[in-house]
Amino acid sequence: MKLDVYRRELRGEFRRLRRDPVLLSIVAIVFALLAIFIIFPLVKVIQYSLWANGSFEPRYFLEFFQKVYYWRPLINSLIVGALVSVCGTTVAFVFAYGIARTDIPGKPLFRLVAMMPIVSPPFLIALSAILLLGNHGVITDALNLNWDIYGLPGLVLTETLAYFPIAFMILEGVLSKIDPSIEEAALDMGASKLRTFLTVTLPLAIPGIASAALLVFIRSLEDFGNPVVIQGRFRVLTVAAYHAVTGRYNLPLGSTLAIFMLLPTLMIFVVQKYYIARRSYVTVTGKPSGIGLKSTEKRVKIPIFIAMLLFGGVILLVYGVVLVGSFTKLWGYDHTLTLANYIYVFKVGGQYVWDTLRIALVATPVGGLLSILIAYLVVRKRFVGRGAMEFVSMLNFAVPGVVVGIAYILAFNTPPFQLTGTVFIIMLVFIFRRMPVGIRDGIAQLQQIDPAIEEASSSLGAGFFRTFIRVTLPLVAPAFLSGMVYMFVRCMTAISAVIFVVSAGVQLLTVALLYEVDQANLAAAAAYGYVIIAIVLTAIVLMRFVVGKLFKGGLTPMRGE
Amino acid sequence: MSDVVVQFENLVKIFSEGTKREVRAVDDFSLSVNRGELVTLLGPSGCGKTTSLRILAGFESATSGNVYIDGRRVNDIPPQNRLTSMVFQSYGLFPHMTVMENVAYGLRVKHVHKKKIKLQVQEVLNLVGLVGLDSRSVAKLSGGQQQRVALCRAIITEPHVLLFDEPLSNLDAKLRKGTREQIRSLQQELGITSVYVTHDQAEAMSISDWVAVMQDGRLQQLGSAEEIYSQPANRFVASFIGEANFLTAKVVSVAGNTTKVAAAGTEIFVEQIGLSVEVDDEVALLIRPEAVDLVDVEAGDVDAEVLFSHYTGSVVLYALSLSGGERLEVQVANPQERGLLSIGAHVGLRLHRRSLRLLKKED
Repeated sequence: MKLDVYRRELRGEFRRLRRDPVLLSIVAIVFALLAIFIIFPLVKVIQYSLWANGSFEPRYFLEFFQKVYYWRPLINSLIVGALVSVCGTTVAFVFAYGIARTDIPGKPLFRLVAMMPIVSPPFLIALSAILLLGNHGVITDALNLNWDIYGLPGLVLTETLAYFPIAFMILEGVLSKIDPSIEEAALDMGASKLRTFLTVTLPLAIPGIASAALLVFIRSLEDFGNPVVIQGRFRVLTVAAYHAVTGRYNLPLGSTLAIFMLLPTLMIFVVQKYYIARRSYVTVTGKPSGIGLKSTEKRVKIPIFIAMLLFGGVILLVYGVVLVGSFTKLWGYDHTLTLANYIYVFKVGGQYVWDTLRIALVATPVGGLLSILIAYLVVRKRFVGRGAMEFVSMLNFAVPGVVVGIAYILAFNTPPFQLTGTVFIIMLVFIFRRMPVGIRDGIAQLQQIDPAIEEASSSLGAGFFRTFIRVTLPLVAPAFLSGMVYMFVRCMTAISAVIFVVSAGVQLLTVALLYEVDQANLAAAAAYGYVIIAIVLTAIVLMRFVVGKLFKGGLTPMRGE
Repeated sequence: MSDVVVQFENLVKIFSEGTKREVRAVDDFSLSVNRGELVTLLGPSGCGKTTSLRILAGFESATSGNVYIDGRRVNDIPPQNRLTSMVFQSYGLFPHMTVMENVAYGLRVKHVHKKKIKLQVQEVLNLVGLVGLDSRSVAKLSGGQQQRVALCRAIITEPHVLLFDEPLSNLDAKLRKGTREQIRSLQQELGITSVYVTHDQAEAMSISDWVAVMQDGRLQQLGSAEEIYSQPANRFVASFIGEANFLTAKVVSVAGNTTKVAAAGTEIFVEQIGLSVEVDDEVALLIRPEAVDLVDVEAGDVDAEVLFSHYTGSVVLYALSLSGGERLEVQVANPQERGLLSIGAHVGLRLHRRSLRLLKKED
């Protein structure tokens, strides 16, 4: 009986889709895109690792477990991931607590500093670590140290700095949303502030802390930029896969390594989404959130303030030294100031700047629109396979960039989709790899908007496109624009996936930066880094300005009560 | 012969939440609406009225059954291609557009000439008294004004069917009454066939040509306001529309239109219509609180004792205990005239014979 009802519903949905040809074709096109650019490449990875020569032959799968050369990088990656996760989350918690729960001065400044690693290429930090602590780093030389920053310490240091901001953003949200009346209740019953923190605040924040820690773990696991610069002999999986593919051109091996990268990230993604997220106690209500209890005691806030100052200082030092480095002749030997590096960057790299911008300026609006379109279909429309559409479009959230890169060269090297060597494959990598964030934000925003507004439009005779463009898009404009900013930033700073699909004809700034690091041309690399930062900051400021102009009155979507 | 514009035919809508739970929101619902009439779907929340309306608009699909507009089956036609316009409970105004743009939207979709749009918009805004607000952002209007913009937006496209989904529930009581009258006079003036959903019985009765009372997804009764009140089809309708007392009764004799029943320890004459009964049938006797006069014990048909009284100024409500132990609530208008009865007082009841009804016993 129930199955019968279900079947009838399905038939009804099919019938309605047939009667709405525009919606039907849009849904079909989106499904086709997701199949070609998300599913197909991942299938190719599995195929290459297990059926390299047409028949089932899991050679590298077996070798992976037998040869230490293959499995060691996985272990190393997991070690780095665990350490970075602990360090990054701890730092992030201190920052988040300081900003959300104390009355220390200079909060906007701290927040700005904490955001810096997000707007720069992540591996700029590795570059900085070398400038400071490398064999000829200023600190190494000044203190006459004899140490080796390459390897585990360098990895943990750079990735902690690079990925704590993600944890910070989550934890700040969690800490500021805990209902203050719960803590007040504990105080009211005679608990001390410390006791309240330990028995109420902290337990309530645990799901958020776990989420943050897992996210940092994934980011560390899939990080390519920092390890390729600073891993030394401590080989991690992303770099091993990269070398397998580009150095030895061994695609079956590269695919196998990719799968071993994919397994832990997918597992964590599932745990995070279906286990931890459901245990969250922090309920987001529409009510203006009360300001949580602030710790104003000096013995609490002074240590926090000092820790934040120290850590903020390290970040400023990291970016400062790269800035200085970009103006020096030869780092470590000749520190005279010069503009030569920037002249070099624009002479040699002018083309790269143009290529990168061109690609970003196409990928950003296309990706932004596609994200909102998918969010709209998922939230507002009913059609067969809606859940599948959501799942697949969010899948790349959990797929490491290196895996995406390998998957794309496997999938798009041969007809019917021969795209390698073109700018399109780079754009596609950006669009489909960064879409999940845009979709997630779009879904969140759409859920805030009264569906009656769109229903009114279709009730007045507007078809799919008119409703989407004239009504939905203006209403989700904030999510749409911030999604585009995010995508643009990622286009300018990403390396892990695109490094596989760039070609002699099309170069990206991040790849050029990496090349200069590889050539030990650190000053030029630093100059590239600041060109990227300058472009990203300009874009953000510009977007802020545009958004400010557009939504001066404050766009508040009306809601039905 | 009347001209049917909207027809629901054996409509069923089942919402399934996963495979575990399913809800029959609409259950074998059939109803016809004639041209130019306003029919209200009235019922408590969850009775299927809004779902039926949304199926008519095309926002939901029917699990089975058919929906016709102008004799054409519209089940598989998307909302934008149906000749319906909806006025939403939350208004559903486009917050990023002005009053003018909101109202003009439907005409722009139809590619009507710009000058003509402007004229028509002015015309409908005049109709509802919203002159001079056309360039105002809708977010800056009051609730009542927003509601009228929504109404203008819906009628300007001259839909064959106008749909109202609890359009007044977000307005305060005073505004509600005025807007209600405005909607009704506009609807009659323009002669638009309308389907109106509400849970407010007073609103339904004052605005409609016909009221369709619904419960559990089923149509309970279709009738004029007067019919559903004075001749309710069953106990649900009787108690949902106004206040109702039910006494258990047994048919003693049937003679023409007059039926004699035994209830509350005495014999009562009822001029019942619609229910065919035989002697010895167990039935429910419906007594409206206002269909009773309180008199001296000797002059009444039935004896009663006052349990408590609830004084509201214009009326006083007495809860009475009848001699058989049953409870009866009685409403007395203008209590100043007679003075209030104290608790424990004995009174006689005189029943308004023509207002009494017999209903099936149920339970």
